[in-house]
Amino acid sequence: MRIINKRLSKILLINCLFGLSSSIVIAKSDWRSFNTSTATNHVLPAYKRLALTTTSMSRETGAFCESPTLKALVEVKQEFASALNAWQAIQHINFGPVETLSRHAAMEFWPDKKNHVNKHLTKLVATKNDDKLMPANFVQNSIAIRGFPAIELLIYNKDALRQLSDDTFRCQVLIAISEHVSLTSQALEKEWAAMLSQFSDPTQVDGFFEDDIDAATALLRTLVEPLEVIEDLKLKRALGSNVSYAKPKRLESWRSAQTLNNLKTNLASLESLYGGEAASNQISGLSALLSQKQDLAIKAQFAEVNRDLSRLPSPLTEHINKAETYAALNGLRESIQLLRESIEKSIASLGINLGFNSRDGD
Amino acid sequence: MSASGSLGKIGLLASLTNTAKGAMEPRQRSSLSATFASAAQSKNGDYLAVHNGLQLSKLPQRAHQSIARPKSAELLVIGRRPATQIWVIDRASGQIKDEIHSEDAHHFYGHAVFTNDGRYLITTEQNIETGEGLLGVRDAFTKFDLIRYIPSFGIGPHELKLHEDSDTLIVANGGIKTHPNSSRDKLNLDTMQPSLAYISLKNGQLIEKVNLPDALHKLSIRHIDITNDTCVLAVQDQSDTALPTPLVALHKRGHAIKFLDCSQNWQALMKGYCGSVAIDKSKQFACVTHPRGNLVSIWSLQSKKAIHTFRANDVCGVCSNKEKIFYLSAGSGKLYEYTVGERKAHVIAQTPFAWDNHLNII
Repeated sequence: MRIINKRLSKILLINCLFGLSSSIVIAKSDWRSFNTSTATNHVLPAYKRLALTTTSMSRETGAFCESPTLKALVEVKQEFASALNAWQAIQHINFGPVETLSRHAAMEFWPDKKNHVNKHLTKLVATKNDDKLMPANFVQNSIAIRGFPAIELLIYNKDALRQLSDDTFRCQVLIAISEHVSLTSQALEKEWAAMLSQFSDPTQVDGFFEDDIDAATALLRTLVEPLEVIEDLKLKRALGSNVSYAKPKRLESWRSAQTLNNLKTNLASLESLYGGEAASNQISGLSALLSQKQDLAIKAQFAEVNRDLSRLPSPLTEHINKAETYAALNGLRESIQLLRESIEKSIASLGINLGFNSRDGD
Repeated sequence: MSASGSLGKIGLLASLTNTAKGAMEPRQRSSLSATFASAAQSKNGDYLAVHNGLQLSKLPQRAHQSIARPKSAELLVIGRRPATQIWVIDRASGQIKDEIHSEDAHHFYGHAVFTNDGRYLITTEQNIETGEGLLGVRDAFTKFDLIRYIPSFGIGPHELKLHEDSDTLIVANGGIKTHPNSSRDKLNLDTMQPSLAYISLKNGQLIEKVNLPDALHKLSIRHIDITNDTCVLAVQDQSDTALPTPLVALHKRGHAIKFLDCSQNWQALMKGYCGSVAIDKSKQFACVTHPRGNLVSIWSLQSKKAIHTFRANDVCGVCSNKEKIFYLSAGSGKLYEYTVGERKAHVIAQTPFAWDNHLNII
């Protein structure tokens, strides 16, 4: 990695146009190397894990509904936590296959400001209509009940075991959603595998991208925009203006008490996207493209965020209304904001515009 | 008068690309066949106006729309909401020759039109104290003195057009109440009532006003383009859900607003947001940009449906002065030409600055 930085330092040039501050010029081939290594070593393995864990969850829900015992429900919950964790590790990828058919929103319809998940689930359960659960038709159900929050509600509801064992159709709904999540995840893995050639040759006829820079911009956005989502939706929205207005039920995955786990997984995944996965002869991660000074500063900020995360108690739902946790969450939000700002600046220094119109229109 | 002024021809800085690249390959073009005007931002953050052959003028603030004053060499660049200035640029020298200020307790919304004789400038504005939407009429013959205000018959007027009858003003009332003291915060999302208003320039009377159906009242009507008998509306969804929604509609006088057909998949890729709209010279096609989805959509006004979409990174500005041809601009610095029937747009220029929201041919 240092070798690459050294090479870059040689082509570091001061751009005099408009008195621009110094910017690093990255060769097209280096962008291509960054793109292909990120897609191959970061994105694809994470989708693979998602496909495996959701398939396992789907299998477990089937077994549970055949003999709905408390022990079986606990096992379903464990599989759910593991699949949700795999999703949280790839939630930041917001372009490509997951964009089509609104699959990103369908995997996790959140935040659910109008209680759509509960409303649509209640409606579907009341229909007792098997046709609506057929895999081929399932996509026609509301986007709010085709993913993790609907499964979570079904298995973590106060009276879940009784509800699911008394009402076999309710359990069939659970099976159908789990199967849908698993099939979607398998499709995403397959489609991303097919997408790899878009990174190795981004200018191919009818290609997804316009060029190497466009592909790199799409990947780099997945490092920055999810940090904004964490700041604004996962933290600020639940924290409100002060501790007495904090809203535990605005925390992500509050029913399954996975909120903190989600955050830790998100940050770990973004840190590995930043730092790159070990791969020889490839530029791996944004880290390898930056100056040593920039890189060390960002790594220190990741460490700060991780320290903040390690100090938080779980489940956050039970602690967010306590002054100490509330302050710690605000501190975390500030650390994440600082980290994001540094990453944004470093990306800009590489001549990449993450979005002028797309992020600030009128 | 601002000290800002011409930065000279960008010809040296802009590389007019003719690079061969698969699907992106631009056909050989001798030079840019049209003169474009737009607001822009340089890499070091300076706000710019782009005009005549990619000449640049530095602006003191961010601008929104740029329009040429007919029968003159003046370009008017309207400040971005909630700006209180419009800059009058001499296109020959690139110098800012005059600055128009809104009245006390008023601000501009970023869009304006001229009467065909180049005499009267009509702007969309807000009376900050009452929240009322207004159209300011100013006389270019008297250094843009304000002659009168006409009500816009709605809150938050944004883009406006003047019909070829030289009297009917067509105004997109976005419906969103904002106050400069609250930055760009939206203050009335639950009760917003966007509308399209037809207003007589001569007497300021309302000729016709249409609203959206109640269920769609959170679709802010922001950008429009017109022919002699049709108005195409490009809206922005304020409902804050992940649910796909129709975003492009058509209106003919005496009828209700009709949303054009579009698959849910395409709707989802548009991310609830339209940035700009233009109708081609044949009046058969409309092109709408969706910067949040990095997407462009093409619509047939005859079959009343979306006929094509393609990706373009950070695209927003769109204009047309030919049959079946649209020009598009992006924050990436790319300027594109798209011909209806083709799969993608061709890059006709790569500039070192980010093109801001709206593109115009002058």
